[in-house]
Amino acid sequence: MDCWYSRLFNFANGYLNNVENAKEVLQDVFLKLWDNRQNLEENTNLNAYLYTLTRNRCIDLIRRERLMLQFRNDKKEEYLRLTESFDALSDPILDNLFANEIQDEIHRTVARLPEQCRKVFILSRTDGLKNIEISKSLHLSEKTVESHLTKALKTIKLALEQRFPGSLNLMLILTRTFSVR
Amino acid sequence: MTDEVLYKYISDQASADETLEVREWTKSSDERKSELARLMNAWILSGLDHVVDPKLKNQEIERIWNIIRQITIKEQKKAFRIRFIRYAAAILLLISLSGTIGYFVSNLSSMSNSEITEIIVPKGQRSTVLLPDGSTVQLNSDSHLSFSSFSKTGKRKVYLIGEGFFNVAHDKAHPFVVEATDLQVEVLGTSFNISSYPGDKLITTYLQSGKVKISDNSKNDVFLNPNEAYSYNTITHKSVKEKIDDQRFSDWTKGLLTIDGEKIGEFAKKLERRFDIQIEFGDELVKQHLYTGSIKDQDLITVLNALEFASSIKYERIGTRVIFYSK
Repeated sequence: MDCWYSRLFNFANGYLNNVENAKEVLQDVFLKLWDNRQNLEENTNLNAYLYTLTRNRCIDLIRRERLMLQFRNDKKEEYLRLTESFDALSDPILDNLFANEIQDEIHRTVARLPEQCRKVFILSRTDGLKNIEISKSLHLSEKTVESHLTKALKTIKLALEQRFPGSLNLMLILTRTFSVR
Repeated sequence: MTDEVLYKYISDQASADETLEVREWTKSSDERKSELARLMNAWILSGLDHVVDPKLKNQEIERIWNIIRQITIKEQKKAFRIRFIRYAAAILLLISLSGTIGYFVSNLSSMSNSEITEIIVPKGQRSTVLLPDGSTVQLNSDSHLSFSSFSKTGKRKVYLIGEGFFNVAHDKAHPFVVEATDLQVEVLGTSFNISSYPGDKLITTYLQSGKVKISDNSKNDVFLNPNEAYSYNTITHKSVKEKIDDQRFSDWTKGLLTIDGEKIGEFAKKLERRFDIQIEFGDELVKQHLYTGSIKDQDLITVLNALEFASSIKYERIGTRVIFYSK
């Protein structure tokens, strides 16, 4: 559970942007796993199973949160953010994600980035540093950090799209429901 | 609208103006919305290795395990009720109930006058035995129980090597005595568990209901009340009595493997007996971790997979050999 928790937490919190909600999702996910432990077959891809569960629980939770925020003028910003997260979670590229390949693809892509760009990106994504902190620790201008990061992110996005092509039709996606065994 | 602004927006570092700019940019087109969604996915997926505050993580994991433990206890209570009804329906059923039946009774009456009955439960098996006085004993794997004819000797006395859960029929005139290594437990009518495996450091007696008297080598008598456990250390000859709030000592009778803050070595011994396997350790580190938890022990693979999933252990299985490594 130890090694799963961090990755799933980062995943959920990335979209939910709310530690309490992310905790709730993870609790649901692990309890569901426990309930289902006897139905899991030996060759179940646990990776795929857990990520799919987490993704679906995040979608459920965003639906719930959005309903509550819908008519509150003071929470407009939060509402919009959640809508964007919802769209992102609905992206069919995530259907492939949970096979290990997609994470391998990201690692490979990061490894192929130019050195400085890679360094900046790792400081940002793995160590969680803000742009300004990176610029200080590597003695770069903030602008340079920004452009490195943007380049890295675009490269990863492109690599994923090339590796896992599939058109994104938002209208179709938004009405789609997900189910896990 | 530059890509840098999008990046800052996604990484939560955009100013209010920049946020507004992104909003305006995406508003008009689904394509732009999808571009933002894709970038957000790339951002999140590339950040999965980010270190989560260990305090938060441990707290949450502990909380989840607590909930799981509570669910398990509830399930156990339900299972116990069902079993109790079955007991009532099949009072005179001689042997069964515990799932696997594998025992050998060698009645030596033809060779000796004292009529000794021996019950041997091999590794990988469990058995329930009904004694002549109506008491039942559930015997755990790799255990040995023997007794002389109750009616001839006029005494209810049994000898135990290994582990057994006793449910003793009430008979005030004839105390029921269990002799385990270094230890004698005397009861009137009660249910309790004794674990006394050769080679184990601790001999434990756990009382579920009733009252028992324990005599160890020091000749000090100890009385146990329900939910108390008595452990006797065969090396230091010291003994401890403690209150036990859960049912970890009798969990095995319900097909559960329970460990409570034990090192993997202790747990490995239980697994070896239960499944008739040999466990080895691939490295030193793996022996250091402590474990707490409970799992159904019907098949080895489920137990090993659960262990691998829930802890920092990896395993490798070659026939009846299992090797544990730290991850």
